Amino acid sequence: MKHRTKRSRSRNVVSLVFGFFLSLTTLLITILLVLRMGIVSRIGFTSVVDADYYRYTLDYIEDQTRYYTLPTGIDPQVLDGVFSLDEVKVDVDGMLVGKLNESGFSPKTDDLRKRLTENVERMFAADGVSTAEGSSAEEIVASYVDDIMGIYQDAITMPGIDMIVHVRDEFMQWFVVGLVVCVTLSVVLIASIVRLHHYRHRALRYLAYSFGGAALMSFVVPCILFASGFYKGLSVSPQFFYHFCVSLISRLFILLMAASAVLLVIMLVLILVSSRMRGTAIRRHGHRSR
Amino acid sequence: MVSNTVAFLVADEAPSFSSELTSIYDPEALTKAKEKTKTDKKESNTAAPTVIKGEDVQFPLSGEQYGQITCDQIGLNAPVYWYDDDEILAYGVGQSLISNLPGFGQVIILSGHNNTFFACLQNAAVGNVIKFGTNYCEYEYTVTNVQVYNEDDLESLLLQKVRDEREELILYTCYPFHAITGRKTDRLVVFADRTAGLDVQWREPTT
Repeated sequence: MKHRTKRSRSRNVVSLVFGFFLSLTTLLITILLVLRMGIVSRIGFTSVVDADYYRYTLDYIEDQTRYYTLPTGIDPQVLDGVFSLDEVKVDVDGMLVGKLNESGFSPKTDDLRKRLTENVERMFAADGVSTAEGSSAEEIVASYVDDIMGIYQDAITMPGIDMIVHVRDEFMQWFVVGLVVCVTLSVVLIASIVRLHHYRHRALRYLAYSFGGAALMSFVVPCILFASGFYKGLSVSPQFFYHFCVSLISRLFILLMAASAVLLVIMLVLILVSSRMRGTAIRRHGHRSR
Repeated sequence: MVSNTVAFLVADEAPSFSSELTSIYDPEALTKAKEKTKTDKKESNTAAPTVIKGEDVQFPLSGEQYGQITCDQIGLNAPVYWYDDDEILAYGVGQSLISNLPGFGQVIILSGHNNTFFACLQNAAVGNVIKFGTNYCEYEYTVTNVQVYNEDDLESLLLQKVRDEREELILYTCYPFHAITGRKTDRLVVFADRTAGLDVQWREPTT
């Protein structure tokens, strides 16, 4: 009886230790999959760019072009009606997809240039200044329009996008390696736990504990961080980029909490199966299988 | 170390992206202070202050209006903001961070656009009196010189002025006026010496 008690206790301790490591590997797999499918993927990334992002980008373009125009002596009213939300949306999306796919993108600014040039020439004409070809005023207009288009191009490009793409590429390289390692470890741990117990329902119990632990860890911390809203104090600008970062972080926390629900379901299924198998084992072998 | 890094990246409150700049300037502050001084004088028979204590001066944050400059002779009336980036210059006159507040015995460098708040500087002349209102005192500066400098020369001059321990108000703007030449490389500079207003005691007096 003593010998059986010692073996039983040591088996339980080993199962618990394996179960703990299994919960860690399960948590890591969850985090990797959430990042890969929900954040780093093109769809996940671009879906965070919403209507507010476009509106803030347009506001930024209007502010920056106005600040640039003020010291030049050109009336800032020449910028009225030049930029539109629809065009900003098309160019922002095009730039983002171009950067993420590393295929490049050049916005079509012909219409913008035409509208702006007409406005400036109208202003010059009202002041009695000729913008005929070859005149100094024509050069000034052309230079000014080029500079405004440069500001526009910078504004529709997300700050730090090149670095984000670089980080994404690095992540993709290590994602497969990380996933394979974690899955392999998980399989080894599961097999070890199953092998440790003659009655399979006891092994399933420890597996259920592991998934429950992983569900708890992937819910509690994101939930606390999400509820605290501390990340909303992120010191980034301009506003459209701040909005993007905060939305992305919120999305990450929500996805982790959703993933914890999946792990919870797996845990419940394992508990259910374990209890049924226990019932069967008791009927077959009596109280020793409890 | 982790908490310090987080504190560096994440502030306590969400940032404000409001296009309106904040202000600590209260035009009534001086009137209220004068009335209080009169009341204190009546009650305790104390003399009027001759210096302003440094702790009574509220330092503005970047982008905050802390004063107003006016000159009736040339039609100048502009809010003064601490710092001088493009956004601030769209709303008023900006102060260079290498300079100091009025009353501190050091140079005060203000810049503005030549087609908005500083358009009137083209009419500035020696002898004009510029009033600089703050919450702690109203100062007067009398124009001593008006000159055009190249922007590189002006930069060197301003750095020299910062090193001099003398209070001088310097206003500058792009030159020439009315010309649309893209980027202008000359600056019209107005120099003015203080002729009224109290010193701010911000250093230990040397014996």
